[in-house]
Amino acid sequence: MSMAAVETKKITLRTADNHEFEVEEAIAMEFSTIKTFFDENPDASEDTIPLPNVTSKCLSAIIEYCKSHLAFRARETSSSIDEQVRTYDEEFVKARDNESLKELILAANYLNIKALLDMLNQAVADRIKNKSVEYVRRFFGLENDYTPEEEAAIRAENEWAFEGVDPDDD
Amino acid sequence: MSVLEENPDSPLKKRPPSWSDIWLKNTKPLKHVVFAMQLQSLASKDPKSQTLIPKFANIDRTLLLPDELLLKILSRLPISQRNPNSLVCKRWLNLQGRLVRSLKILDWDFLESGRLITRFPNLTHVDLLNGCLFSPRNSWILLTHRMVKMQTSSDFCSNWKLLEASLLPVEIVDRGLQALANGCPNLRRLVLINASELGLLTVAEECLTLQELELHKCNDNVLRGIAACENLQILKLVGNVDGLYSSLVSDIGLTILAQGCKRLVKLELSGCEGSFDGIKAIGQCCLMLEELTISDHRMDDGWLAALSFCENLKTLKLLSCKRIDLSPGPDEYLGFCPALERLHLQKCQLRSKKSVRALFRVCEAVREVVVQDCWGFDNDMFSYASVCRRVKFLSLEGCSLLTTGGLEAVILSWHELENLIVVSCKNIKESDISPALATLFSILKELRWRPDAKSLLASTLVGTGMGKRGGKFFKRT
Repeated sequence: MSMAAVETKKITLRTADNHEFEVEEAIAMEFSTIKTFFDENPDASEDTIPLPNVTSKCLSAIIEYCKSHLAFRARETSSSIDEQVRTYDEEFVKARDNESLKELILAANYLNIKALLDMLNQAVADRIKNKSVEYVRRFFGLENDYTPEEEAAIRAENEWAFEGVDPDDD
Repeated sequence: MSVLEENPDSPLKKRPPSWSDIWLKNTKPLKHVVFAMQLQSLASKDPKSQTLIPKFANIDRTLLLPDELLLKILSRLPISQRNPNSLVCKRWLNLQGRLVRSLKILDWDFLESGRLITRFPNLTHVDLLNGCLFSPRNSWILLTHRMVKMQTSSDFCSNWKLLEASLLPVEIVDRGLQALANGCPNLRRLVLINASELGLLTVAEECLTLQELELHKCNDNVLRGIAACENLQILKLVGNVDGLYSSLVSDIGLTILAQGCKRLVKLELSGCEGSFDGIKAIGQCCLMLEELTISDHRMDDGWLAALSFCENLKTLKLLSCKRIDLSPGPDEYLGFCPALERLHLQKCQLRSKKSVRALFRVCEAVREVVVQDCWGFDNDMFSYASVCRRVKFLSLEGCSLLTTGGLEAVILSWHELENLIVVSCKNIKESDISPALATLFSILKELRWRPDAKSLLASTLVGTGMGKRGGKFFKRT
């Protein structure tokens, strides 16, 4: 039997558009969905994992993200590392348009990568923070489904019926 | 494309574990795939589309973002954006409403019609105080008294029973409470006025997690309803408010309360009557009581001695009391609160020597004493505090009758004193500081010494030269 010693194991992933990606096991284990699958089926690691809900564009970005973050984590924690992580995350999000951000969120949710998902959610929140109702609708591609009467009723409620309270620490 | 369409293998051959197995356990990704399949079938109806990806982009993407993801994004937005977000579309109204936990209701109909519960299904903190007041919206006279705010028209009655006239009738308040209790089973905090015991019983039955209650215009009968809230930990009762309304909370009510709410940790009694017996009942039944605030009390003399029954009491606050206890009884029956750590006196009339002496005896174990803006607090009164030997922290603000000599006489005997704050006490002069006092100051951990400064001096006045004298600020941390 051959010595399957410390060689880095590769996992093959197939995206929705039929591209195949080979990734190191460590990276694949960042995807909790895949990790759970392997925990329960340890013999399945030779097979190709189909990811019908993830495009190749998304997956390559996600793989890059996980690679970089694994590298960061391997180094000693310090404030300069934290700074670099922050800069990396900002750059990761900055160039992407709203559509690809949303696609990435769906992919990160599907693959269950908590840290990436939190970061992307925050990025989207930052993009729509304090923006107008119209802007938010355009961002998400939403239609206003209120009738004028309904909208007036909600506005009246918002104005007269209650007052928001800052949450106390619980 | 989907693995769900795999051909079932023959029953004799064990199927290798497949992606669909894990999907069936974790249905979240399954839902995504189902969505994707449905969308693909929609997409393939269009003869021009060849691949999956372009069609994805044309469809409303937030339909694909499941509620839980949108909620996570929305929860990171500032509170000021909640109302605008509710106008984006109906789905967002629902989602945004689910994130709101704490509200002040201003319009009673919003509650009674059920709109409140429909829009905000996850409320835990509800303030109904101003909602129980009927106020005409287009009048410009605003009456406020602490938390009560109401607009009134210019033809208010001359005997000033403004509030009583504007309060919603008890039956209506109870009906609203029923609606609230049914719709907010996880209610934790509630503020209201003019409820009856029936209304409160409804809340007590449905909202088992109710921990904090603030009840204005409370009386003995209503306390029967409160006693049904077994998990109550924080309670504030307002009985009488001069000029606004009068409502009787007596020993009867206090005893009922004590026997019902055994888990009370914080209690505030404002404008309440009662006497030794009521406080004793509370001390004996509410074994977890840690903080007691007595505000503008109308209690019978002799109540101070009952405080010693509160064996776990850590903080005692007296606010706006016109008298403390004019006949506290003989020393041997006074006792003291063994666990007491903090005594705060704010805006009280401390003119009776018997009162103040008895108060300090009951509080002889305190570690922290704060006296703020109290009348009649002169050197003789303060000298009674020497009995409190364990004081570590002393703050005196607005005690204009005290002199340096009087201060010195007491604090030199306090060997554990570490923090001293003296602000706006105009008869305490720096020129009167004796060497012994100066030595004491040098070993304190914290000293804030501004007896001459007006405590409300705004920073904008700094350049004008006002308040320039007496601005020393020693702090050694």
